[in-house]
Amino acid sequence: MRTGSRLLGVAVSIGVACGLLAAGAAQADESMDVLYAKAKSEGKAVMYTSVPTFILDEWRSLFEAEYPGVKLEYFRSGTGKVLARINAEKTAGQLHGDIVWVADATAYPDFAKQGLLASYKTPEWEHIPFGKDPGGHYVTGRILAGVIFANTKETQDFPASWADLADAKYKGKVAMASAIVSGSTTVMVSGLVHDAGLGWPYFQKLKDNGVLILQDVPDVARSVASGERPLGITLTLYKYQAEYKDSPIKMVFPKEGPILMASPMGLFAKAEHPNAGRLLYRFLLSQKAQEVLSKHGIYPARDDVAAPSGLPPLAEVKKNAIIPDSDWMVANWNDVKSQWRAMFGH
Amino acid sequence: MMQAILPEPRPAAVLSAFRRQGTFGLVALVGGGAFLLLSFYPYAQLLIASLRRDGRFTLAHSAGVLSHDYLLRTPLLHSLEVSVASAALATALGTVLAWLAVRSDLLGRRAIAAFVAIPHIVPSFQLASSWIVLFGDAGIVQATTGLQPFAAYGVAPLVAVQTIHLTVLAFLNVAGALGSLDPSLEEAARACGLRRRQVLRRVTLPLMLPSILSGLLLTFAYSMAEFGAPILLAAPAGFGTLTTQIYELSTAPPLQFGEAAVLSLLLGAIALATMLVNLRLLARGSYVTLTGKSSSGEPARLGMLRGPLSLLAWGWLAATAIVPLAALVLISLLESWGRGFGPGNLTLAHYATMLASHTLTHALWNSVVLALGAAALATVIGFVAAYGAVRLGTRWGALLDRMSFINFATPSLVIGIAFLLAFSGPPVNLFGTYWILLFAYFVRYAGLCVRGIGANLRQLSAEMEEAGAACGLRPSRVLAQITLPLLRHSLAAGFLLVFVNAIREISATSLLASQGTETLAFEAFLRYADGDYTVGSAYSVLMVAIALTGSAMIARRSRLAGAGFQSGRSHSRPCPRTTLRLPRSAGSTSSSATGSCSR
Repeated sequence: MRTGSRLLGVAVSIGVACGLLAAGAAQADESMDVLYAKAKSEGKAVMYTSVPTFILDEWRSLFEAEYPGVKLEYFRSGTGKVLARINAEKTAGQLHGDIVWVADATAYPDFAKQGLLASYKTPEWEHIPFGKDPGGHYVTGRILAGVIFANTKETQDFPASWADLADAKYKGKVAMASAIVSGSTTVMVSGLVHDAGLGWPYFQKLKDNGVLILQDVPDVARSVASGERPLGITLTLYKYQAEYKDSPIKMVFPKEGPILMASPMGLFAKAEHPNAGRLLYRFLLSQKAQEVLSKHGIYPARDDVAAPSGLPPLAEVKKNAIIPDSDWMVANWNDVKSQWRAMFGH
Repeated sequence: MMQAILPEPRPAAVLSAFRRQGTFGLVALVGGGAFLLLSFYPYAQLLIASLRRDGRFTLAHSAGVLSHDYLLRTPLLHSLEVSVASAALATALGTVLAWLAVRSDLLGRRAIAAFVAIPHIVPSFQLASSWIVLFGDAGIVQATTGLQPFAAYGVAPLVAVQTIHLTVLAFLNVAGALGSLDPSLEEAARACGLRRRQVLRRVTLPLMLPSILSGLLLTFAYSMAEFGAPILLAAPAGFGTLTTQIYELSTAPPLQFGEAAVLSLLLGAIALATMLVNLRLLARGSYVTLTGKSSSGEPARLGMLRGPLSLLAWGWLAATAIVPLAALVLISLLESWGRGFGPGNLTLAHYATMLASHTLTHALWNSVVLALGAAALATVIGFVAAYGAVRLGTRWGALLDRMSFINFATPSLVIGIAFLLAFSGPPVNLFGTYWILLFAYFVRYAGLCVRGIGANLRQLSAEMEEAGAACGLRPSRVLAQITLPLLRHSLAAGFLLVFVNAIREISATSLLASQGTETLAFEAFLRYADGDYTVGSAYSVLMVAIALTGSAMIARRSRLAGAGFQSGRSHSRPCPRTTLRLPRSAGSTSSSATGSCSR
């Protein structure tokens, strides 16, 4: 058994080394035509992602129209389940995806350390102003913005700041998602605790005021829209969804600004379809693909694609925003979760 | 339906016992072997995962679980608390309803079985979200009446929803047993001058006790493995259970997969313990008469209470069967959240979206074929295990029976993770294929068939088969011409139960499905994960409609619903006897009880 696993270890290291070499070679600015020709023989590119299905489906139409003969397939689930699947497949010895794109930015340094990601700096990187791994293993593909949703039918008294939300006058009126289950909420909690300097007493106050802890950020949007709780901490993108059309939702930007979260993507070092994977990777960072994000209320990573309609441009928002420090998050991830668990139980 | 079949450990050598059975032996060995392999191998991978870190052996995961209250003590106590409460309520309710359906002159008693089954066909997470939409703040009830009679989140709503979801399991258990209870005992007691209530207390209830307790253990085991309702209803109140804890450990980064594996194995151990208690209970002896006498005599007259009781029972049945479904349909029609539930805010657009989806036909087809396939495999294994354990008394059959129960009491999510570990890489890579889903459904739900068929077999006297053999029929002919036709009701019922459970399975599917192998449940799950609740509900409506139609079709074929309680039985019992048998070992109860599955 032990010999077996050591052999496996050696095999994996060799595989990773080969992957790195291959990736290194690919960093050269190869033309899309060459890449497409190679990708065609592989037939498809597979993405493991937490990006919503309606965006993935639009990307698929665009991608398959532009590169006939190469299919875009995806495994879409919550960030956690995507990671669970990667973990299980890694244990079983074979990853079946080419690209990973989840909301939890802290997963990527760990992936890179494990040798799971290829280094792949493409010409598109020039248009991405921040959130780029110096080693080339991952790059920001979209920026999620956390704000306060308010139900205008239930209340006209909106909190002026994040700190305000924990005020006694909003007792029993606030909903948010679980920092254990929802990756973006963990990031938002880190931002509020550390970067906004509100600390854990802030969440203790929210708790004392009976904050409702739902599973995930879309649940919060639903809760606010339906009036279950008049206020909630969630992401801008839900406001743009069809089923909230004409819902009494107002996006409130607190005075400390929204919480901006870079959501990176990476290419697997041992991708099953390395060339198709690269082709898709570059496509996802293209203007065309990034515009789809903007349409659905998500800030694109590229500086040459407009912000979602109704939201201020990213450059402006960035001046006054909570941008969670990713080094701090990586170092304190477990602590944030156990503090949270001690406070809310789930 | 789920009591374990009793081991009648006759030390028969597996091979020779099966060899004598010809074709059956071959199917039993190959099919049973495949089933065991598909069960054991993923569990073994899970066990390895619980004992490894970075490729080395470690007890750190177990130690971690043991040393943190939030990992072990708290969720374990919560799970036990909720499961004991739901099991007790579901069993009490199921018993009363079963008595009313089988033994009373309640109005419309024959339709009770169908109505009591509906909340089980609806997935539990769907029941839970209906609860929230109905009773939550600004929910339908509050919006229309201004009242909020129940809490939206917490332990009480969870127990309520689980009780509604599980009542049918206890109901089937008790109804099956009541149906085969020899009425002459009760008649004798009446003749001796006991009043009706005394008969109920001194004769009927004691006779039914083993199957009632058996139903209790079954609902308990099912409840321990429940995930959808706890995560939606209890977690927001800070009340985590073992299953929600496993979910968080295995899907929330940083993944603590080893710890999740330890907790999963703990749940498996609890399932095993439950089953052993069940066996012990049944072995203590049962006094149920299993004579095959078909009619259960004159139904008890409810007299003056008939009207009020009918109203009460049907009020409950209608509320639990129809209201959650109606809420689900309403969500699927909602145009936009926060604009009330009036006709101005209703639309068919989400159904149009669903119909326009390029994956719909594919998902529909996948769902039906996979559920039918899993049901077929499960029925074969159910028969093999039950026949092996009950008729042939082999350890092989008993082993299959035990394994199937443990699988059944393991949360789907755990099966999903174990399957990913086992079958997504060398030596066996089933990833991205239909097989991984098919086998997962098969392994998870085969227990539903094993129990039902086993119980039915126990009810059947072996005389018919012996007569067939005496007339010179080969064993395989006896099976084909006598045994299988006699068992057709429980075979069909087992098939149906597996079909319904497989078609609405989400937890394992959400990990194992990929593009091309997506199912309706998976499509619904994706929509919910996107926050697209209305379109997700449209998928759920379609899924539940298929499950209900399938159930109705199979139920009609095999007279499972309502009227089947008495009439079905008489056909399967060609030579009714009225002797009172006091079986040495438990068999009889389990059989009667499990008539459940067959009814």
